[in-house]
Amino acid sequence: MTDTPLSTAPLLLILPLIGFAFTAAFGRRLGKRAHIVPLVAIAAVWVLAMGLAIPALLGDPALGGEGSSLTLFTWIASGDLIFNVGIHVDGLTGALLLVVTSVGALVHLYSVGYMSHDGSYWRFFAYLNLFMFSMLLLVLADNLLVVFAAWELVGLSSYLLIGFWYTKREPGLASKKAFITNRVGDVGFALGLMGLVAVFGSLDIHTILAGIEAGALTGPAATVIALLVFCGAVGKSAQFPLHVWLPDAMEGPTPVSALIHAATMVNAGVYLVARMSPLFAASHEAMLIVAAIGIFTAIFAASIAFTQTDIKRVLAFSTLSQLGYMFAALGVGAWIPAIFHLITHGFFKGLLFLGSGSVIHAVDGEQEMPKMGGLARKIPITYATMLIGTIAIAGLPPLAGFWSKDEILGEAFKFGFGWVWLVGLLVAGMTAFYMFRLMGMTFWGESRVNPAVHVHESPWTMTLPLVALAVPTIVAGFLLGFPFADGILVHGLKPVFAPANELLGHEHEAWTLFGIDGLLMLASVTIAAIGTAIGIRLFSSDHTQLLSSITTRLRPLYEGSRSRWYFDDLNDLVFVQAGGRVARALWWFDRRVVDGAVNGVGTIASSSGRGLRQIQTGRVQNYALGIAVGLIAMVIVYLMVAA
Amino acid sequence: MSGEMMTIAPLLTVIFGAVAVLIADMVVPARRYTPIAVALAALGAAAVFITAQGGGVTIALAGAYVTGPFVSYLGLLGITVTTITLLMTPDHVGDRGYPTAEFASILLFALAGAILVAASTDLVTLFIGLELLVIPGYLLAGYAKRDPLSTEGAVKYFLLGSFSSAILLFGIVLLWGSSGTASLSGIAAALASGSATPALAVALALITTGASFKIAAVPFHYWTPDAYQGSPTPITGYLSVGPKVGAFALAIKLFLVALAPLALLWVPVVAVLAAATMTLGNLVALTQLNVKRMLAYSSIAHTGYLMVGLVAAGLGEVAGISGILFYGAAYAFMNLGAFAVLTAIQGRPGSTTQLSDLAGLGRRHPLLAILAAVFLLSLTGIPPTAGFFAKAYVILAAVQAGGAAALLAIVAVLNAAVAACYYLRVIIYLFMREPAEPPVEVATPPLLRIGLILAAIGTIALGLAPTLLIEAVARAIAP
Repeated sequence: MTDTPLSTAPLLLILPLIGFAFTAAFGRRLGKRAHIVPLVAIAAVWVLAMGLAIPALLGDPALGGEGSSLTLFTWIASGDLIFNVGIHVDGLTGALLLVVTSVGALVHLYSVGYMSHDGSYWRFFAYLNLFMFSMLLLVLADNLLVVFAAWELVGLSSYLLIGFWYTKREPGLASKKAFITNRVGDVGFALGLMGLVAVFGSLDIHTILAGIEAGALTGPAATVIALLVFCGAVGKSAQFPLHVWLPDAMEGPTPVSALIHAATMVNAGVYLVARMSPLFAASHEAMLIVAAIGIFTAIFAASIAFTQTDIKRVLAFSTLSQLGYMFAALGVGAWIPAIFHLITHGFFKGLLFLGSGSVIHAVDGEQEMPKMGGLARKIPITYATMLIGTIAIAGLPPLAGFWSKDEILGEAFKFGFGWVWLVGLLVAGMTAFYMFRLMGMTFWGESRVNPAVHVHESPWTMTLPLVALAVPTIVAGFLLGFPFADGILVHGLKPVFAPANELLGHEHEAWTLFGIDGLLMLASVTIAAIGTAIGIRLFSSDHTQLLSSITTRLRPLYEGSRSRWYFDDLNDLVFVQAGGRVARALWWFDRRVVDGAVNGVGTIASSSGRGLRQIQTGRVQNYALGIAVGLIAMVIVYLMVAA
Repeated sequence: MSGEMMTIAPLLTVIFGAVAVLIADMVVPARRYTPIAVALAALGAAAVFITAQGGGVTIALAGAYVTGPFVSYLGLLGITVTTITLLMTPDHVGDRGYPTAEFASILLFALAGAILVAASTDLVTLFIGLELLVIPGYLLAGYAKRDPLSTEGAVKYFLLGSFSSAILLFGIVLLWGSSGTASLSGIAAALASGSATPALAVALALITTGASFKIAAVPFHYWTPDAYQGSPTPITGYLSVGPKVGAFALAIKLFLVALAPLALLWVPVVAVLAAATMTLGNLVALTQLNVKRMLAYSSIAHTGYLMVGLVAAGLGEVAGISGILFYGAAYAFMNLGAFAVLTAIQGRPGSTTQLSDLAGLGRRHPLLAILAAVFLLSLTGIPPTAGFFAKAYVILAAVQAGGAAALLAIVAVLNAAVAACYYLRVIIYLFMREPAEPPVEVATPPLLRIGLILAAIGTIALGLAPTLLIEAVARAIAP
């Protein structure tokens, strides 16, 4: 194993697993020192991951291009069906490793401060390391069965962490909601995997992708399988109509929201579609549906973010919206911009969530923005870093979000998806608006904070990650995406998506500043600036009268947005009320008919068992006689068979 | 060391180890752990010798003893079983005032018998190996000599065991007389060219009866509940695993080597016995409220599943043998593990193993209860545990063999469902019932703890990565 470039890769999985096992076993006794082992494990993972991710993205001959694989062991071998556990690293893996381990390491550090007062300190770090193991397994695995196992493991970690404060009612309900909603998507994913096994007789990713390139899966079969796999992505990445769990998941501790529900796990769906890009490229219809669901989620969620007052919920709906962007990009075949946005969004949304956590920490647990205001001067580091995050997500140059968002919109237009471009442009303006609304309500104007609360800046373990995340939020876009359409990321990822682009017939065009590209960029910058201007104008100081006159005039829209377009109520009506009735009917059937039959069998079995027990008399003579009788019967049988 | 010495080195090491244990006990008397340490060292040395042989085929003792991958596999399995038993027993019997040296020595002699069975190539060596394997079993069953139940079980086991050995020996003699040779492969060659005479039919009946007794197949299983119930709990665990796996090695040698040409005769009989064994074992286990007795009956049911592999192999399906070998290893880990848990809850001498004693263990001793659940789930056959793949492999082999074997596979699947009832009932008691009052005394001395961990690692590792063992099994049965 020493001569492969992946010889250190297994450590990426082993270290967090050790951290989890150690902390789970001994954490309780370690008390406030419980974070040391998990933190060191993740720091080491970060160093190792950078050693793989950077060469992979820079097109290192061993790790770039086709990538490099390492088979660890054979998991299941049943006839011709063989499942290996192995690791594959290429440019796409590198991109994910970059975000997952960087944000992961910083969130671990941040949690040292944020969770310091919690009685179950050790449990939190044990879960975090379990999550890191699961997420890294997900992006490293080269077999879809292993991916599926990791997929469920991240789901489990997410469930455990959303419900971390399980003694309170809301987190418990939210964790169940997340788990069950994801299950709906996972059923589709599992069926898709079965379809792939039926077609290819394997779940090895490279076997499948090579088969699709060779044209082994086309027509309706390709559409059905692609959409089933996409179901899993819709659940995990919280796309419409399975988006309902993500806003509620904010009941978990804020570092969890930043790590799992903004920067890493929710990207798993995007990663899956990107990894299986030829599967989707093989079906025009599937691509169209991915694009439609993505762009619809983008505008749908952005419209809800307009009116939410809980600071974390605004960010949650913003996450939905940005993930929608990524799916829209995947759906139009703009693979590289989708992954580019995944990276930049991971950094700036991680920053914004950690910043919101710092705000909540400063005002003593308050999450409602109407009870904040005027915090800019009291928590300057948090303010400055969040402002950087906001400018980035708004898409204003030269920060990270501008580069990736602009590429998504540009490619959507150039590939002939005018409608995606138009809606996307609108969402860009909306994003700028609601994000500056968030900044205004939180940091500007008069303070509405409860006077009894002593507002204070967070400790260094919390502000350092903010500053550290602000750096890529400023420079990642430029570093990875310049020159336009010819940057590092394009070179690193082009070989990964070459098969899909070949199936789609997409060709690489030169970027033209004084042509269509320049115009498109101008349009997206302009609309971002307009959104920003309106946001600042309305929320820089108190315009209560102006705001209330707007909301009165647009009452139905305002109420709809506030109530998340009544989607949770619809779910309640369909699944909880009506579904409950069906379930009760089925329960009756199960209890009376199915259980009746089962219990009948059980009764018969036990009564015959009681009968058979009588044979066991305990007298050795009887036993010897039994053996003798059995022997005689045996002789007779054999003589008859032989004759 | 000469080649011949090297060939029998594992066997000699185990026998010398058994003697060394007794000598050590004379030199430093009445120590609880010294004999165990000597015995473990002997096992380690034997394992090293087996590994050093590297699975190569070598011949010793004028051709009566031939090693190869098959012997290596069973030898290492036997060493594993003996090791876990040595770890879980000393504190249990020691606390009850019984010595550990004799126990360790007896156990090593039994292991020597098992290795001899696996390596034998003729009827005489095979029979001697078998007796060396089972006579220690009689001694162990009566090890708690001040306990009347234990003595009663041991006497019954001894009387019936001798009876069945006589039957088996009679069959062996008839087989020898009919074919004119004692060599197993020689018998196969003679049978392949001759016809099925009445004498052969009688020999088959006697051998089937004798072997069925040794593996505890219905209707020759009567001895098991009494012998198992009376023995100290960890010894019951050993009795339900060691002699059974050894006896299956005997069955493979007799039925699949010597009697292979007569497969058409014995396969239907063994198939019917297999179905009866599974079904009766499970149905009676269902009614037991004592967990130890329940596991005794369930071990009868496991004999039935193993016989399914024998039937498949008799029909020419090689996967049947590999199924038996895999099942043997999986069964060793999960069943010894389950008995180790029972040993742990009998921290106080005189305590029982009623179902109600296990109630609420999950709250008082969560780790132990989780281990218990792992072993029980594996015995039920739920993935990802060793038990799942064990059942899957023998049942798949039967399906591939086709015909009546496929019917037998269906019976096995139905039986697995019945077995789930009583295994899962224990889990319900562990986690969903209020703790028993007064609470049972749990004792997990360090050695028992290591034994539990070894069993758990085996049970889980074979479930997560069954291919690790499957490769060894494939080597073991390669021609």
